[in-house]
Amino acid sequence: MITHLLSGTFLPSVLASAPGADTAQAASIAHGPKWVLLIPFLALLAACLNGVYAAMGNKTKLPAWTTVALLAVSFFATVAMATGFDGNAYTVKAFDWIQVHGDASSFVANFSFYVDTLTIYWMLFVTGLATLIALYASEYMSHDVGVSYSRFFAGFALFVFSMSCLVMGDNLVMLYLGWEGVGLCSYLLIGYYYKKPAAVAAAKKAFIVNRVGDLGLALGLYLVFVHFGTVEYAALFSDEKLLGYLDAAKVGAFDQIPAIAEWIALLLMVGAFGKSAQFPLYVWLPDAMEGPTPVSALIHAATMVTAGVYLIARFYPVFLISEHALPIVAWIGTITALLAATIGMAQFDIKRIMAYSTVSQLGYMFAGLGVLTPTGGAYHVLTHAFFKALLFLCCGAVMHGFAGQLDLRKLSGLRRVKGWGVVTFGMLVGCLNLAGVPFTAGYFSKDTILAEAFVTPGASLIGWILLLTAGLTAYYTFRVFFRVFMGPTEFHPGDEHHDDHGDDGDDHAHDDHGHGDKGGFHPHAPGWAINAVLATLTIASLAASGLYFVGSGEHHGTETKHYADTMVSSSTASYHSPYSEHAFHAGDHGDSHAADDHADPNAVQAGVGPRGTITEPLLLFGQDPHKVMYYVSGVVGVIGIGLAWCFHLWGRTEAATCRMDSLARLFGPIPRWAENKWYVDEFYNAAIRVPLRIASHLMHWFDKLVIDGIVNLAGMAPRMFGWMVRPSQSGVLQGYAAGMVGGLAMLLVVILLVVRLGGGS
Amino acid sequence: MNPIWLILMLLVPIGGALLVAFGKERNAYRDAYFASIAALVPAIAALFEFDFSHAGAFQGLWSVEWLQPLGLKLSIGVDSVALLLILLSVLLGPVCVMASKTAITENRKLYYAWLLVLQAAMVGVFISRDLLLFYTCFEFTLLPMFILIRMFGSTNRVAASTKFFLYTFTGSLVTLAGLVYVVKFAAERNGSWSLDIETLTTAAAFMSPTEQALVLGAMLAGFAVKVPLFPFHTWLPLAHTEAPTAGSVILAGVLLKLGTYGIFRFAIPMAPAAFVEYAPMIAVLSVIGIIYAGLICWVQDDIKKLVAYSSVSHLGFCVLGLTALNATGLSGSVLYMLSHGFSTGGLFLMIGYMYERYHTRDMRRVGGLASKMPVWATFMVFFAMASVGLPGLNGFPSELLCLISAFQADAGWVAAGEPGAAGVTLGPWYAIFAGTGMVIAAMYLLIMVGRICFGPLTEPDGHHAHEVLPNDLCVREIVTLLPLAAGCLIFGLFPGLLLDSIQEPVNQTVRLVENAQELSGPRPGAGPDAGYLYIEETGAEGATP
Amino acid sequence: MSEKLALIWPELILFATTCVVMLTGQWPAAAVRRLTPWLVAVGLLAAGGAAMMAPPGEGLFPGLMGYAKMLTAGVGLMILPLLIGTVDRTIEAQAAKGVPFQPIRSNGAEFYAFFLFSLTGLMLVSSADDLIWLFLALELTSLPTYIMVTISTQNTRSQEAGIKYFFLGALGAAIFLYGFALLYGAAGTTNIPEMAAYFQANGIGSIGMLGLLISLIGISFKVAAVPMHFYTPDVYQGAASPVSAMLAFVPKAAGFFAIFMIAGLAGWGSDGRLPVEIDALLWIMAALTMTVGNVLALLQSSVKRMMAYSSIAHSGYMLVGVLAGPGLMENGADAPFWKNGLAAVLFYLLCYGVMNLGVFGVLASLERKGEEADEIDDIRGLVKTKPHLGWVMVICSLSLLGFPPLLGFIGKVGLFTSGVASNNIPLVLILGLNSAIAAFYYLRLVGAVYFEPPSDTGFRSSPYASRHIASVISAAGVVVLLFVGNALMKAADEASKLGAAPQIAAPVEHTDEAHNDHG
Repeated sequence: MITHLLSGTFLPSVLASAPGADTAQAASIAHGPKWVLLIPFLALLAACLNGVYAAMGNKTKLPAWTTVALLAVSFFATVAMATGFDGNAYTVKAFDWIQVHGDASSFVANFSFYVDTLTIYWMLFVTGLATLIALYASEYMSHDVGVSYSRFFAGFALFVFSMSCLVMGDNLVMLYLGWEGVGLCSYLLIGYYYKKPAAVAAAKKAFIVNRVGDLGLALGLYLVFVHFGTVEYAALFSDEKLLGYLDAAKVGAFDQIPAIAEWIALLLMVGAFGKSAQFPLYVWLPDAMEGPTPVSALIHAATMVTAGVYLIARFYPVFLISEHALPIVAWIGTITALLAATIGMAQFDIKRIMAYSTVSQLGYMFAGLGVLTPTGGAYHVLTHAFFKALLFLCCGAVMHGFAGQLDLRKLSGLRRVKGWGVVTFGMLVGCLNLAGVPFTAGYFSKDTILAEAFVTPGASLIGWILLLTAGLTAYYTFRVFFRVFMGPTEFHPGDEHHDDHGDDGDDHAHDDHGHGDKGGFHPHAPGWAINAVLATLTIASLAASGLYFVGSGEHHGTETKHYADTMVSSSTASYHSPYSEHAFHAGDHGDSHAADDHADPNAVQAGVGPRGTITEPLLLFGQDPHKVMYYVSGVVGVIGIGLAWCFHLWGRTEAATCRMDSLARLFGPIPRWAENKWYVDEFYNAAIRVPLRIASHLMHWFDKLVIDGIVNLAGMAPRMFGWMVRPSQSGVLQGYAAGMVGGLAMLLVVILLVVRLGGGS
Repeated sequence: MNPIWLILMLLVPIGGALLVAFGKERNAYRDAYFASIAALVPAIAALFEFDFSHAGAFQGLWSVEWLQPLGLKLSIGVDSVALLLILLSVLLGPVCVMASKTAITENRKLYYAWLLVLQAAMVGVFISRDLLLFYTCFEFTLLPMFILIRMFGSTNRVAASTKFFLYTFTGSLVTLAGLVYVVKFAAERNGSWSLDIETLTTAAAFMSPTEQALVLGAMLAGFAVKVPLFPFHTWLPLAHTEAPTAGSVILAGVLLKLGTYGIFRFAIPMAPAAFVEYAPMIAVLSVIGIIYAGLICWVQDDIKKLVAYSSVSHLGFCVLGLTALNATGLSGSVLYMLSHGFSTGGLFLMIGYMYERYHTRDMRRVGGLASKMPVWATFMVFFAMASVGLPGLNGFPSELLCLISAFQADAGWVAAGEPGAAGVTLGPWYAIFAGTGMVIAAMYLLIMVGRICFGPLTEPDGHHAHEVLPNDLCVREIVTLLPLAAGCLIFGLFPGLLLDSIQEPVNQTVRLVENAQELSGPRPGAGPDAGYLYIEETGAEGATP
Repeated sequence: MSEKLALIWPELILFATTCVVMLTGQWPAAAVRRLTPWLVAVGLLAAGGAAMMAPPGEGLFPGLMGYAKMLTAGVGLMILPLLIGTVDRTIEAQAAKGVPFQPIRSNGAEFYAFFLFSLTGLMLVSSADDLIWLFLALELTSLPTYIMVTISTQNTRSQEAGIKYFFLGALGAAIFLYGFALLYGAAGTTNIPEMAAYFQANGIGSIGMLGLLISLIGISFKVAAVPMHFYTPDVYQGAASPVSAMLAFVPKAAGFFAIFMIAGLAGWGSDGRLPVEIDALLWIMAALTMTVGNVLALLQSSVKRMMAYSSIAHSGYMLVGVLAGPGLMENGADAPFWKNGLAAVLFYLLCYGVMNLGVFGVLASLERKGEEADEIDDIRGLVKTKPHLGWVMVICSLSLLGFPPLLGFIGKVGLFTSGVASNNIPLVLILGLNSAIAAFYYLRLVGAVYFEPPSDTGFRSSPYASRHIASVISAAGVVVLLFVGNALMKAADEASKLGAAPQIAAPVEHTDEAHNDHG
């Protein structure tokens, strides 16, 4: 025990050999090579080192380089893991974590990692992007060099660690660890400028709203354990009970599946909504943009927010056995996509526009999962990760260069400004991807989802909405590009004093900028680090479209089984057609408005069979949507861009105004509502926060007055009784004598009459 | 294990107390410091000598007759649960002493002497194997705490200390009646009067359901107040707010656990059938406590009161785990007893250090300290996160287990042949409502951190730097925080170590409850005699754990 | 006759000492006068020794005598040093200045003599085996105290107290004498064992029952139990603290011995319980007594009054033990200590005598021109100003409060266990709650002495070192007796054994809760 205790302080690898390690495995699954542990723990090491730097008051860029180097190593380790993967999932255990061995049941959740294709797929871009963005941040954060610089990178590295625990964990509790860990890091990093009340509030909001989702995840976790008796993937996904349910779901016989099993999916779903900022829990993400841009790029665009998608993909079997979960996912995703897009159209802060577009794209991914193409979802995650990171980093470069200016009414024609070429080009590529212009990666991934939406019975409405959204996306994306990078060159710097940042408030280059007049203001063009990263990402985003053609080449339906497909469908998320459709079909057969319709056996039967046989709902313009969608969505995207051009670029003479303004008036208050996010925050405040707060105050008073009052009353009671009997102590002799005799008499009466005659003995 | 270590753990602090009391005023701190450090030695020795492979068996047993006619023996011994709780109290000793160096300026002799006496009393509670000895120590802890609050507390200390003493004292007198009843029952059953807890536990399980119910009620009267369970909690915020920092730390770290420990050690084993029957009600109270206290935390401006209410909320989880009565729940709950002190104790230290510098605990008057006290702020965030129950820190594993157990303890799931509880029915709703406590905790703690650490710096007007202390934490203060922080991490990352070691006692308790249920026959409605006769036959081997 | 004499050797010794003290107390030579307390002490020691050697007596409680007499001698020895300097101050002062000593104006002799008389009475009570003897002994215990109260101080309050005490005492005596008469009428004998046997054989008729009830109520005057408690606060407050300390013990002890005997007349039945009427009576009296005592003590600012009420409350506690009785076992064998309520009472009497003494001792050790401390304000911050007195106050208050592990707690546990063993659970709960109420005012004492800043009300520590010593001794006793408690409890257990067990053995039913709730 003692040695065990001490070994707790050694490296995890040492710990793995600690006594009791053998009790860990619930199911028989291969043990992987220990060096896989490097991937998460190098990040942790980086975090610790940065902590040390902070403690030592380091004043150099050392933290940045440490982080970049260690993350790079961990990225290469990931690559090695990917290349070395032989197709069989394995686990790598760091050490025993939580183990309770009762007589009746035992709860085992180890600090160990589960590696399959899905893990690899996710880890590749997580570590890769993290490395790049750390490099970017090394320059971006340079004006904070000092304690807060270390603080930033400590949080950054800790985030990577948490994220890899989330993705690599081999049990739900590990996932929960990462889940909350990334939440913490996002809290710390959003609140990085902790003197800005806005930043602190945003950080708080992010964490608390996430905690709501986490509650769902936690409850789902408990339910998984209570129902399946384990939380370890290896045991869970090979559990006969689960497989039995899947077979039941295959024929749409959901009535054979206990309600508990259905609840699992619904609860996990809530968790996913929280972390991936889906309606109605999306409100925290836009505010999260208060954090430094690299953070927004990595955490709030590329990686953390996709955790929800990962969760659902990882637990796809569990979602398939639930009658209503996937339809709900699909619909929530769709609604989110549309809603966020409309809000995004009306924003002026380019970073917020990007934030809403992130929410919107996440909606796409959820819709993809919902309409039974985890592949599409995952693929969109990947492409989106690259181009959205790229977009954010470009915005960041602008923000960095123009003293925090993000208002697209105050920036214009940057492409002509010297030294902004890379940024402009990167921005362009990013926008093309986001707009889904043909042959970009975004185009392919989005199409997969759209097509599947039309293919899936009863989901065609979803398809149409998503298509519309695609158009809107294209519009607001290029609205940004045309306003900021095209048109007449004009810019007003922001009023950002960097001594607002961090705690070592060094005055620096920006403080002498005259505000508002562009004469005295010289934007400083991004340096090599930023440019290098932007360039890399630009290339990556372009290359990502290549992934669509790489792959096994094996045919699957009408489409080539591309890379993402290979990776996803050989993981736990591999439950594809035929039967998975009925998870949806049974959900809302016939009418696509009510996703939670009750299953109708006949309808279910009608849907049985390989995909081809289901004819009616699957045609779009009499064609197979997979083909049609390439054209349709391409066209839609181009239309959107065209609109953006004619309203925001065509004949625009200054930054502030454009044709759109006059057009917007026609819509009356609607644009203002959209700009104010349809007042969702206000609604939450009025509907939840305020009543709760009032209730709390009431409770506080109740506690003070009633409960404590009762206690004090009880304390007073003897005293009051004392006051009552006190008069008997008059001090008068006769009184006492009378009292004695009276007492005697009374006692005798009581005893002789009451007790004796009252049938005592 | 050699009982000498246990005895030393008791004697060293007492000796230290005498040393301090009869030493010089200016040496008080030094002497107390060394005494509390010295007390660690036997503790560590005991840890090394304890045989964790038989963690459920009581070790270091030693006993000497004291008042034979009353059956009162000085008999001691520990199982792993008791040992770990002792270690916790002994570990907090030096922390509390060091934390008080600058905070306590006059009457140091009294202060440190009573602090050490308190430590001895706490150790006494956990090592005693004699019921009356246990009760004696259990009660005796009141006196030093009362004196610490009354003499060294802040403005409202008289009311606070009095309420603390009288409330808990009243409760535990009823408990005494209940315990004595158990002893009487055992004596009449075994034909010999004995206060040995082992014997009593064995015999008590044979009480008829009615008797058990009464005994349970009596015991809870004392233990629920100590915990404190929902409607009986009002003394705690008061006591916490008024107590000196070290007092709050010990109160949160150990004294509250005496209640849950009492439930674990006495209420459950001695009235198992009744506990099973009334567990849902107790669970409801604890769930109410979790939410209710949590929401109250949200509207506090006095940061210390906030943390005080938060420990009402947290202890709710602990009791919830106990009421689930399955291995998961009891393990989680015991783990909670051990780990809760680190985070909450840490928070109280942080507040104390802030109070020393600013002489206010009002978050409206002081805030945004991160820019002035970065180290302090870092620890603050750390402990707050530990208290939120962030995975990887101490709050999480125990909270997780307690909630899971509540979920698990439902016949509904059990029917499906799943691992189940000893007949207790709590079910998902308990877990769901208790779970909202996690969200609420995040809410009030982050708001607290946001107000006190972040945002623009605000200091009370007319504030001037402390004459001795630096703006940010000094080394001594950091040293006091490190063990707690380390505790948070170890309990968060390697709870397995503790869970392993408490497994056996926990499983024994679970078995005991299950046997007891068979013994006392069909639970509700079964007349005393029905269960009773049945017991008479199959009892003896049935109830022995 | 001679064997009777053998039983009362201690009394005889005390009587002899009394005669000597009468002389020395008013001897012209100051040196001799100063010798008086020492003589008393010697007498008490001798009596105690004699009691130790005395053979077991007759009567219902053969063993009682030995214990009771040693107890009397022991506590008497502890009270004695307190008494020094209570009377004759001025005269002694003048004598020291050379004014010729006039015996006629001195009270010293009577004071000590009456003290000894009272103790003698107490001893006689314990050895009584006849109602007449019992009556005389009880009166011998009380009468001297009336006078002691009156002469204990110069001021009129003690005279008023004395008068009240005398009249009410007389009333009480009349009441239980009436009861005795009824008993004689019922049983046709005054011999206690015979009477017990008679009741055993022919049952207790209405007359007998009435007699028992009236006697019990009357005797409860001695223990200051409701409804006979009214005199207590006035008398305690009026008398000088040393005398109050004595009053809190001597008559109370006598009363309880007597109550044992009267209750023993009725006998604890086969189920170990008294006849239902007496059971009910004692139940009601116990509950009322402790509650009234405590709630009234809460309101006092005068420590003496507070202690008076607390002494009422403690009588209530002890009545629980009487109710529980000797708790016979199934096989008619004698019960172990934990079941034996009478033993618990006897032990608690000792505890109470010791710890109570401390509080009065502290009051007696504080003076302002001859007048003793009384108000709580007078003892504020005593720990800082006069540490030894302060700590005595703290320890004794905590012990009276029943705070573990002090003597008071151990004593109370005995009452608890016997109460529970006799299935008087509700009464035990009342006892518990009352201890909690008591905590209120004892804590006030502790708080005042320990925490509050000294408030100079002009009180200086008394010139009589003996009083300080007495207080310290009692505090020490509170702690030390814990370690010899073993022997004491055993002795108490022995003392409480019934002589010829008049009951027929019958099994005790555990789950029989019929008796749980009277009143």
